[in-house]
Amino acid sequence: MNFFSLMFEAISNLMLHKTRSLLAALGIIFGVASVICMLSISEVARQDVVKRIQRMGVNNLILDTIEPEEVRANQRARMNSNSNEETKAFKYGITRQDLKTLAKNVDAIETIVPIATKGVDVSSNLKTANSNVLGTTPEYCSVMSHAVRDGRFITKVDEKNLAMICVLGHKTARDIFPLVNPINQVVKLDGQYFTVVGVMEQKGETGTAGKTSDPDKSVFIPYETAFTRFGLGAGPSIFFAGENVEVNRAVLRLKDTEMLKPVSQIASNMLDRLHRSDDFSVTVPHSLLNEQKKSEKIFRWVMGSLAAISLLVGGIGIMNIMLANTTERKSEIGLRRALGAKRSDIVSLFVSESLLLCILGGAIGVAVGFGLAQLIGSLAEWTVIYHTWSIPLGIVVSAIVGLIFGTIPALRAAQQDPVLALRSE
Amino acid sequence: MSALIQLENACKTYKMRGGDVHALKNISLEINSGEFVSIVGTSGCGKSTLLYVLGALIETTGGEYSFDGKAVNKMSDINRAVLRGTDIGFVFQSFHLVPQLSVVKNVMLASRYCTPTNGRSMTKRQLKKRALDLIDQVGLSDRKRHRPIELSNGQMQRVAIARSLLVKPRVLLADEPTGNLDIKTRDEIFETMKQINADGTTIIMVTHDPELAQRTPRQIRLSDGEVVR
Repeated sequence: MNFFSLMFEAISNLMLHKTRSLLAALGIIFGVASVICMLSISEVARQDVVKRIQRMGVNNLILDTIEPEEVRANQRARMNSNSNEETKAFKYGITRQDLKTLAKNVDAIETIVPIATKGVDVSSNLKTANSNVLGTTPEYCSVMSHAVRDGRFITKVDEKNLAMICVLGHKTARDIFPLVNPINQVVKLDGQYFTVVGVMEQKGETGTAGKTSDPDKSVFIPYETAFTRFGLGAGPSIFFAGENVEVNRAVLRLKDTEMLKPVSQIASNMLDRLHRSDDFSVTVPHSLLNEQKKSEKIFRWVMGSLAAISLLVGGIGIMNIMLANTTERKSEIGLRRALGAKRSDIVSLFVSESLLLCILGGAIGVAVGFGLAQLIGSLAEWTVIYHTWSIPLGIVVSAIVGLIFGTIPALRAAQQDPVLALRSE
Repeated sequence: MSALIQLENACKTYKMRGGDVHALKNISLEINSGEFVSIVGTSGCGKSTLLYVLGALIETTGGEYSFDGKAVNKMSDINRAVLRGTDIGFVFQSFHLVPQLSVVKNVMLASRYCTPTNGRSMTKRQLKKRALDLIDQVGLSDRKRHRPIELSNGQMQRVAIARSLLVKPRVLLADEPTGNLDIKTRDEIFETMKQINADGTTIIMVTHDPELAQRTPRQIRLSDGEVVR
């Protein structure tokens, strides 16, 4: 009896008990489906994190201002006392002087781009959107690899003249000028009027947990204008009067990427000496990528374990149904033995059934998994990523499960005494 | 006539929790090719055990058993399966038809383990033709696509007989083949078996029906696991 006739017989036997076969395969179907779905979704998450890190500039060094604990404690105390009295401004974080010192003393630094930010409402004649004013220098585009789509970016002349011009992020432009070309239009930022000179390309969110920013929802203005007009770095923050932050973030482009680690160490040491409190952080996106790879490895282990547990449960389901099947067909086993079936024929009979059941279950599971991932993707507005290798993987793993868990009941059936089996009817 | 089946001091003892049960005790007999033999005796005397020993489904625990000169008790499990698949046909009291399969598929089931490698020279096409011929011979050609549940007991037993003959076995072993049938059907089945025997197939039939046993040319009487002369 060749493989194909064995499979044909297995199909016929499974078709005789459609409902039972379907129930037996359910464990495998959902096991494989959940694995496929999780693989697709985790790939989306992985690629998103990698892209966010890459958008920060893999060859850059990022200095961020962070609010020191003493400032937070003071703010909490002020909130609790409900005091309206004016108090002294807290100055903390990275300053322009820090950046000058770094540029002067560290040769490896090619460019430093300061970024000062403030949350504001931006409005055109028709619409208002919540946005983020981002004061920066002309080098921002090249250092952050963020291109201008229409018009132009900030120039050195704009900086020098404290020009009231702005460049809109992709989403901001779309939100406040849905129908007209934003170039040369006037927008209002916190009560002040700016002329739109450009619109940026879409970039997507950058950074990782806790330090994310969305350049697409920003309005770019010259750093000096921001400093003067909005008091960024000198004026009050949104919630608490008296906060004094000059530079929220500084991006350092190095001449040689090999120098990323030593320069980050030097920058950290220098800022440590210049600052009294722990009010800055140094991030190397390149290191973040490496860390991401490490967490990805751990994640894969977790995923693998979950997949193994799902398939183990599915396999146990198959084994139970196959055991019930062999018990129910005891008399048939006796008959087949009387007709000349060897023990190996009985094993082949039941293993082929469980194998086929699992292969079919695996194939259905792959389809259900893809469908489920697509559904979740459309609900969460993600572009779902499929691995073509997950199709054969799902089917082959299911086949292995069928082989392992089908063999035990099959061996049990083959070991039965044929006479007792015949008398069982 | 030459001895097709030869038993010499054959014993079969079942090991039970409550003690050993000696189902067959020193049985010696010879059955020649082409004979029609009935095995009779009271319930529990070892008739069916003897039949299953002859059918190579049970191994003896002592003595010698040879089939056509080959020592069955020295054969491997695989070779005994091959012997069953090619030279021995079984008919059971409870028919043992697969309920989900049609008449023709039930008959064809016997060809499942009778491959050319098992020593049978018939091709699949020849086996299919023979199955249809046998169904015709037992008078069920108009029922070949029916399922067992749609047949009477007599018809089911005819299907079982057709199945047992598919691979042209040299011996047909029948365990109470008429036990579940009325007298009229019993006689019809017996006539069919006589015809099969007349065509050259050796038949060994276990029965507790003395009248039926009287109609066979030779009877072997068992009592408490021993042949009674």
